Amino acid sequence: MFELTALNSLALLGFGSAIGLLGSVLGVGGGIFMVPFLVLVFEIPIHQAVAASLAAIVATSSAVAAVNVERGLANIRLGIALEVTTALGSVAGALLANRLSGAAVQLLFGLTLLPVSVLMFLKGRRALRHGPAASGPRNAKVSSFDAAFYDPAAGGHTNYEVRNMAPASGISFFAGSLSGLLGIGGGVVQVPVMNLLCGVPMKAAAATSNFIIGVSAAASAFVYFRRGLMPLELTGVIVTGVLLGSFLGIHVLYRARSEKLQIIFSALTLLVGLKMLFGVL
Amino acid sequence: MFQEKDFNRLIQRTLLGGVFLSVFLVSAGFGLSLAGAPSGPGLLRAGILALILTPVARVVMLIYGYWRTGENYFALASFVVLAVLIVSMLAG
Repeated sequence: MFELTALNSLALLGFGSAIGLLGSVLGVGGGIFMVPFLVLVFEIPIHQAVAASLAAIVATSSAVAAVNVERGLANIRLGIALEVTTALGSVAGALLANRLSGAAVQLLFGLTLLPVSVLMFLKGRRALRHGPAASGPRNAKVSSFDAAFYDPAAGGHTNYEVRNMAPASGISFFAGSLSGLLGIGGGVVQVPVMNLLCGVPMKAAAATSNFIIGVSAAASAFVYFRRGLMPLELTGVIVTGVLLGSFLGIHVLYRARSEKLQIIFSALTLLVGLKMLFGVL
Repeated sequence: MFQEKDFNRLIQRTLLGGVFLSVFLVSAGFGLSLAGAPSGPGLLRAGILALILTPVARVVMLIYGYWRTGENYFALASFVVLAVLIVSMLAG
């Protein structure tokens, strides 16, 4: 049985802050790192680790989205449209969970992430060398998903069009089903979909992904809570740490350059992809 | 007139309200538990529940906001998300 002491509470607070910072800057929940860390380092039973990690994702998502919505970084219309297919996908994933081999899905997912990582890296590097693509002010919005935000790193407003919504919705369905099949939040899929496929700038993609992932995490977290599997004290400490890190991360995201975030995200995608592959092989 | 700015503020306040309520209850729960008060664990539990329900409240506010701005397609999309959310919460 895991006992909270002053020492491990401090360690959990610190770890939670790091995950909150990572999550708020890159738009991922961080469950993929948090669960193994809690299990291996703190020897917390896997179900409790997953439950605490889901609550932590809800905390990052809610705190960060609150500020990003106000700043116009999170694109609510795009978020809700992708949430529909993600939510339907998560139901499909839960229904398919007994029929599909988890290892096969993990292998497919791991392999897909490797080229995604390369594409994110190349896009970030090209923009760093040649400067970001020009985005002058436009008079009329082309679709209701198009948006703009003030970017202090670019020193002005960044307008963007949202392209390829149909394939993006399809992939979000897949991302949602992954959360049902593999128990991951899906931010690592949503961010590249928005950035590479829809043409959303990295900062807005990370902010919108953060907006999306809280909903599916809340649904799963509630199931653990209702069944009495949520470790309350442990979750309370981790959530506090995650919130501290998230509020710090909001400022980092606001000031950071999209291209640099793209390169950091490509490293994260590579790490998650390799972790998935090594988990199977 | 309900504008985009009011809408964003509504969503922001819903999310921040949920997070701050949760932080308050969790801190109070920890404090009272350390002091040996019997109500500590109950408050901690309520704090975690408030956190988990925050995204649900946010989806409800999206339905309301899009209905007010007359964007019925997005109100419907938000409603579908809420329906799936409630079904998976209760059936899971």
